[in-house]
Amino acid sequence: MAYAIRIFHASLMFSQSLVAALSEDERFSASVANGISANELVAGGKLPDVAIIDLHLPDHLAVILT
Amino acid sequence: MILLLANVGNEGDLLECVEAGVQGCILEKSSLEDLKQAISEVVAGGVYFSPEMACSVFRKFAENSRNARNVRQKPDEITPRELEIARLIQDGLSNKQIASRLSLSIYTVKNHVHNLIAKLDVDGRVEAAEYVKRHHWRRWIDR
Repeated sequence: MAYAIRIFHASLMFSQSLVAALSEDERFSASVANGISANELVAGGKLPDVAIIDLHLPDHLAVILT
Repeated sequence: MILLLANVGNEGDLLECVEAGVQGCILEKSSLEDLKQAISEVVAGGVYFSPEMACSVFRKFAENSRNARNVRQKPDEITPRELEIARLIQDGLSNKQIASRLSLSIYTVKNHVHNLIAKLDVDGRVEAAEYVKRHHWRRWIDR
């Protein structure tokens, strides 16, 4: 089963390119998380196996790490 | 599991994230293969840091350790009152406001500030307050 990866990056273009690159590997099921607030993600129980987070998104980091 | 994307130069933020429990950090400029390896490591329960970031974290860790030593090396001659005044300067209070807050005369506050500046060998009240903060001496106030 593929690992669920979500990309939180300030640049949508960067996120999309990363998703496209990772999706070529069947081990990963990547998706863009731009537009989803961290609160929404956590409250919805939608935490992925791995969240790849832009260090420049402090709000997301703060919510997910607490 | 959380994997951070960062650039060299964010060491301060990164250390806080490590303390909070992130499992890894990789540079944005890293190759796709490195990213895949990082993901594999963290989902397997390990950690992954790009070599550059690992160096940055170690440097920051060493700096923090040195600062922690400075905490223990607080000169005995710095009094609790001077530290308290340094904290209030750091909070943006004027000498007059500090005097009012601590029920002291303005002259007494100025005297404490003057002594603190002289003991720390700094150029002014703000620099003295910054010095105290940088060396984490403020925590001594509550003791």
